Amino acid sequence: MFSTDDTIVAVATAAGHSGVGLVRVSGPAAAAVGCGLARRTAPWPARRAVRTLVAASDLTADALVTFFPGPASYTGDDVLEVSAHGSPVILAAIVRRAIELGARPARPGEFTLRAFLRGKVDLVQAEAVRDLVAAVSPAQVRAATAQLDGSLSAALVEQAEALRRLETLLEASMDFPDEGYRFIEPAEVHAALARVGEQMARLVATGGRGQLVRDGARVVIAGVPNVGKSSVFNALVGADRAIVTPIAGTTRDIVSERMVIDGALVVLADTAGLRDGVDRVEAEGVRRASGAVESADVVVLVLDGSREILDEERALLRSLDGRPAIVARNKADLPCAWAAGDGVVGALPVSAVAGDGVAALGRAIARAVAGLSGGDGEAVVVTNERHRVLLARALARVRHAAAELGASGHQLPEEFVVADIRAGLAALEEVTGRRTADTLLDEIFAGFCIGK
Amino acid sequence: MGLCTLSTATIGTMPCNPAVGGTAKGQLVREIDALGGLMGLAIDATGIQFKVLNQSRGPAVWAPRAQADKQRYARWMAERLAHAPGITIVEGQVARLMLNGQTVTGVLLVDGRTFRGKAVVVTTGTFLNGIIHVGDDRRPAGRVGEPPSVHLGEHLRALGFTVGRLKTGTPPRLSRASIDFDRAVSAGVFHVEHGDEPSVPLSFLTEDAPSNTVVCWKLHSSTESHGAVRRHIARSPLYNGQIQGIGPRYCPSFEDKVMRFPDRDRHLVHLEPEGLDVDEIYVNGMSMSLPEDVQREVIASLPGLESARVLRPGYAVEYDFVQPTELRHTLETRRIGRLFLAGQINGTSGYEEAAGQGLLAGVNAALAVEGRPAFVVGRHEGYLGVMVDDLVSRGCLEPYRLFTSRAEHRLHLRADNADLRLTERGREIGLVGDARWDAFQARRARLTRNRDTLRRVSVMAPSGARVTAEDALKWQEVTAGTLLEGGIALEHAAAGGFDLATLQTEIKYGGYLRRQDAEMRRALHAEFQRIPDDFVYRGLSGLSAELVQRLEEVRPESLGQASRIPGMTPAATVLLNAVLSRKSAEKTG
Ligand SMILES: Cc1cc2nc3c(=O)[nH]c(=O)nc-3n(C[C@H](O)[C@H](O)[C@H](O)COP(=O)(O)OP(=O)(O)OC[C@H]3O[C@@H](n4cnc5c(N)ncnc54)[C@H](O)[C@@H]3O)c2cc1C
Ligand SMILES: Nc1nc2c(ncn2[C@@H]2O[C@H](COP(=O)(O)OP(=O)(O)O)[C@@H](O)[C@H]2O)c(=O)[nH]1
Ligand SMILES: [Mg+2]
Repeated sequence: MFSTDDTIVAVATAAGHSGVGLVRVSGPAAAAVGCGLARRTAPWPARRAVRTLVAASDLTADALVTFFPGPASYTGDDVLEVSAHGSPVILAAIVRRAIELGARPARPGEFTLRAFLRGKVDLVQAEAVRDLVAAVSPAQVRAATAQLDGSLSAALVEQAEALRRLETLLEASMDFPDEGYRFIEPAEVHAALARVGEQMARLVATGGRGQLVRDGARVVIAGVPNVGKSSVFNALVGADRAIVTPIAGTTRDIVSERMVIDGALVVLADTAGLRDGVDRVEAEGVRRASGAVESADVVVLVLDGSREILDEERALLRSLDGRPAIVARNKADLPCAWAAGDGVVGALPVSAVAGDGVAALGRAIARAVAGLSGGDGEAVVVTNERHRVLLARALARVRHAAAELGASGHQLPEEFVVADIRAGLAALEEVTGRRTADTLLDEIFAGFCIGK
Repeated sequence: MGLCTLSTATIGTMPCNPAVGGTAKGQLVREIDALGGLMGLAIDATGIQFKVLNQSRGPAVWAPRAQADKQRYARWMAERLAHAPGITIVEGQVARLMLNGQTVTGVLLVDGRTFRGKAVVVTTGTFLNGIIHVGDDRRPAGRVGEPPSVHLGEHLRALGFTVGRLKTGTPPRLSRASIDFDRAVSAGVFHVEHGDEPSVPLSFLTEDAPSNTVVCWKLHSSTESHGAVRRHIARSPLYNGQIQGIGPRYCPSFEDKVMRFPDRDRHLVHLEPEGLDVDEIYVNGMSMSLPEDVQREVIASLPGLESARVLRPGYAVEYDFVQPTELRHTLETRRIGRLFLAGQINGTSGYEEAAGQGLLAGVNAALAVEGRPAFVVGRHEGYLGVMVDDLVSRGCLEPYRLFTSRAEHRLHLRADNADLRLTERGREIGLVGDARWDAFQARRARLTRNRDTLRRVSVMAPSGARVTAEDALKWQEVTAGTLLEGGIALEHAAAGGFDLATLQTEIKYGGYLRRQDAEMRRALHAEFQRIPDDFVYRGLSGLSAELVQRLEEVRPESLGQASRIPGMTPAATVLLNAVLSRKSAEKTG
C-alpha cells in the first residue's frame, strides 16, 4: 500500500467542464500548500471560506479557499479545499502548483481511505461514499445515504453487541466453574441467538432487494413475433437518454440495455428469438426467450392491437398471472381490432412507431419496479455483495449454534457455541472493518475515483 | 547453574491454595509437562485428590486439577532439585545485579558474596518490597513469616524499570481437629466432595492413575457471615485505603464478594485439607485481609464452623512487579541484556503461570548463552504462548491469570493434546529426554492406528444400516468408550484416557477444529510480518500520541502482536502495515 502520512491533492469534482470545480488537499502540508497557492503568509482561519486569488503556473484564478484543521476534517488530516471556476485547465494548473508546493497526486479513493484509517468512517461508510458517487438511480442514492449515515453500521453493531454479551456470559461460566452456577442458561443462550439470527436474516434477506437497487431490475419484453417488441424496446431506449451501460445479453439473441426509466434502474431485455424462429432454430429461440421471461423481475407483454388476440397469446397472459407484469397494446396508431369484451383489461395503448404511450409505459415499468423493492419497509437495505456474503456467513454460524442448542436430547458444549459466536462476530466485524485484511482495503479503495 | 533463594527450606512452598491445575491452568501444567517440566510429575506423586473440572462442558475446557499434600509436594521438588546435575543451590539475598554496560554479568548478595553468570533469571514472587496486611496490622514480609527483599526492588527501579504495585490475598487456615465434619454433613450443611474415579493424572508420563486419599467439603456462606463483613468493612485494609496495590478482579477476596455482589445471599466455600498428616484446612473462597478478630467472627458464623479454630488468619500481600511490556517474548528484558524475569514479578499470579514462565525464561537464558535461536511458543501452540504474548503486549493492570477465554484458538489448546502440540518442539532443543520421547512417539503411533481402525471398521446404526466407526463416533450418544465396549479394538495405553480423548474430540468436533485451523493459518500471516526493533512510530500521522507511546513501550515484534496492543484499532494496524511494507519495499528496491 501507499504512504498515508504525506500530503495528497486531487480534483474532487467530476472530470469535464462544470460551473465550479473543487481541488482538495489533505495532509500535514495542506495549510502550507494553501499559503503557496494564495501567496499568503497569515494562517488560515478554521472552516471559513476565504475569497482570494490563487496563482497557478501562468494562470491566476479567483477562488474560495477553506481550511479544515485535523482531526475534525473529512480525512482527519489538515484539509484544504479550493473552489474555483470549473475549467479543467484551471483546476489542473492548481493541482500542478500544489504538487510543486509539496503535495503528491492522490490515488483513487485515497481521501476516503485516510478517513477510514483515521477512524472517521467505518468501512461500510467508506464504501457508501464510492456507491454514492457511482449512483445512477434514486434508490441507489437512498441506499448509499443510509449506509453513509451509519444506519447499516448501527444495525451491525447492535448485533455484534448482542453476540459479545453472550460470549462474555458463556466464558464466565466456563472460566469460573467453582462458582457452581452458570452465568447464563442454555435456553437463554438459545433464545438470544435465535433473536440475533432473526435480525440478521432480515438484513440478509434485503440483499435480494439490494441487488435490484445495485444492478437494476430485469425487465423483459415478451410476446409473439411481429407484435412490435423490438420497436417498443427501441422506443423505450430512445425515449430515455439516461443509458448507463449497454451490457451484452445473456444469450446472443437477447438484447438488453441497462438504463434508468423514470428513476428506476432497470436492465431492459428484448427477446428477439421468438420472431426469427421459422425453422428448427425456433425451438431453441423460444426456449431462451421463455427462460428470460422466467427469470424476469417485471415482464412487459406486447400484444398487437391491430389484429385479434391469438390463442398462444392468451396462454402467455395466463402464465403471467400473479407476477409483476404490464400488458401493452401496441400499434395503437392503427384501428383497434379487438372485439368488445374480448380485449385485455388494463392494457396500455402504445404506438412504438408514433411514440404515443411510450412515456406512460415507462412510468408503469418504474412503478412495477418500485413495487418490487418497496413494500416490506425494512429501513436498511444491504446493497453491497461483500456485506451480503459476510452477513450470510455470520448468520450461518449463529443459526448453527442456535440449532444445536435448540435440538432436544443433547447440547453442544459451550466452548463450541462460543466458537460459532466468535466466528459470527468476526464476520460482522469484517463488514464494518473492525477486523480487516489489508488486501481487502486495497480492493475496496481501488473501486473509487480520484478525489474521493 | 546457581539457584539463589532466601531460604532453601521454602523451595516448593505453596503459600496459597495447595492445589495444582484448574481451568486453563490444568492445560498449562500439561504443556509444562510436555516440555519436560516437573510440575505434573510432582503433583501426581504427591496429590491427594484429583478431579477434572468442567466435565459437564466440552473437551477444550476440561481441566485437570489436583489437591496437593503441600509438605510432600515441597519435599519432592526439593529432592529433585538437590539431585539435579549441574545445579548449585545458594541461600542468600540478592541485593543487586552486576552489569557490564547494558548486559548483566552476575549478582551481588546482601552479605557481599558475588556470583558471576552469563545470564540471570529473576523470580522474586511476592517478595519485592512485600507488605502483608491483616486488618490494620501491616508489616514488611514476602510471605507470612518471611522477610521481604527491599534492595533488589529499589535496584530495579533505579535501573529504570517500570515498577508497579499489585496485591493478592490468602484465606485463613482452620484446624481440622476442631471441626465436626460428620455432624455438619448429616445436618446437611456440608457436602462431601470426592475425587474422580478413576482419577486423571496431570503428567503424560504417569502410568498409573494416582489415588484419591482425602475428601473435601463444600458449604455456603450465610447471611450472618455477610453481615459480619459489612459491620467491620471499615477495618478492612482493602476498603480503608491502606492497600494501594490492585488485586485480581477474578479472584476476589471475601469482603469484595460481599460488598460487590450485595444481591447474592450466599457464596460457595470449599474446605480442603492441606495434606495427609497436617491439621490445616484451607478455606477456599474466603481470602480475607480483615483484622484477625473479625476473621474469627466471620468463620464462626459459617454453618458447621461454629467452633472451628483459626490456626492462621488470612492476609493480603502487596508487592512490586515489573511491567511485563519491558520484556521480549523470550522473557528477556529489553533494557538489560541477558536479564530474564519470570513469575509473579511479571504481574502474574498462580503457581502454574509462574512455572510456565520459569521454564521459558530458563530455556531462553540457556539458549542465549549457547548462542542458539530463541524458543518462543506461539499463541496457536499453547497457553504458554498466549500468556507470554498477553503479558508482553498488554502489560498488567491487575494480577494476570490464565483463562481459556484468553486463547483465540482454544479448541486446539486442549489438555489432552498438549504433548502433540509441544513435545516435538521440546525435543528439538533438548528439553525432552529419551523416556518421554519414546512414550510420546508410541502414543502418536497409537493415535494414527486408532484413526485407521475407526475408518476401517463398520458398526450397525440404529436404523440397521452399517456405517464406519468414524461416522458413528460423530453421533452425540456414541463415545470412544462405547465403541471400545462394543468390541472395537482401540488402543489406549496412556493413563488418564488421553488416547481416547484426543481421538474422540478430533472426530466429534472435526468441523470446528478444521475451521479453527484455517483461522490459525490466517492469523499466522500477521505474526510473520516482523517489525524492526528500531522502528520509529513518532511522526506517523494517524496514530494518536497515546498509541505511539504504547507502541514505543511494548515495541511489538510483529504486526500480529501490534494488533493486540490495547488501543490498537484495525485501521491503525492497516496503517502500520502500509508503512512497514513501504519501508521494506524501499529497502529491497
Ligand atoms: C499471600 C499469597 C496469596 C496468593 N494468592 C494466590 C491466589 O489467590 N491465586 C493464585 O493463583 N496464586 C496466589 N498466590 C500466588 C502464587 O503463590 C504465586 O503466583 C507463585 O507461587 C509465584 O511463583 P514465583 O516463582 O513467581 O515466586 P515465589 O513462589 O513467591 O518464589 C519467590 C522466590 O524468590 C526468592 N527471593 C525473593 N527475593 C529474593 C532475593 N532478593 N534474593 C534471593 N531470593 C529471593 C524467595 O525466597 C522465593 O523462593 C498467592 C501467593 C501469596 C504469597
Ligand atoms: N403501425 C405500427 N407498426 C408497428 C408498430 N410497432 C411495430 N410495428 C411494425 O411491426 C413489425 C414488427 O415489428 P418488430 O418490432 O420487429 O416486432 P417483434 O418481432 O415483436 O420484435 C414491423 O414491421 C414494425 O414496423 C406500431 O406501433 N405501429
Ligand atoms: Mg424483435
